Amino acid sequence: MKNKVMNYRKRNGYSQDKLALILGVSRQTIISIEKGKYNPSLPLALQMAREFHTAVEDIFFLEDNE
Amino acid sequence: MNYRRIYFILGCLFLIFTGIGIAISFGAGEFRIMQIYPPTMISVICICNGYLAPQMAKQDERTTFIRQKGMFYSYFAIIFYLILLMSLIYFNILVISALHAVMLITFLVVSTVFISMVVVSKIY
Repeated sequence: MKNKVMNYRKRNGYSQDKLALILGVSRQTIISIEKGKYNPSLPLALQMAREFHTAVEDIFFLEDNE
Repeated sequence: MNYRRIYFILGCLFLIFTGIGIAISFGAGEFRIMQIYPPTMISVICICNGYLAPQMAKQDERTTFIRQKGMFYSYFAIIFYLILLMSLIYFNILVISALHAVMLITFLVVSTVFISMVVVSKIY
């Protein structure tokens, strides 16, 4: 699964630390998600989408749906 | 001083203790491999914790995932160790006491769990 977390984060003016603090996760988790190494759970993805004022499918998508 | 540094220093200290222990036992002509398991195991735990401490400080889903995956891979490794050890002992290739076998298994299990968590945290 690919994602546009980094784009949305920068667009909203968040640092990795700030986003981690808002979402209640560690900075390493945000780094891993941005690199696509780790796929977040559904609650975390929903929380992220709510924070970025968008839908989950806009942030996370399958590679063939890019 | 942060936890990471403390763990690394402790790990190095225990490695030094292991080296000193080996040197002394060789010097005395009574080297027993059983003696090096506990300090080596503690140094592995400390060094792995030193690497994992900053990541595990925050209890989130990634750390839970790392623990779960680490235990999952360790489970197969432990089965492999037990089968190997049983085969070696059964065919008299390895002749060790029960105490030695227990210490060896403990050393392997503990080391594998911590090392696998480090490897998983590197991957994810």
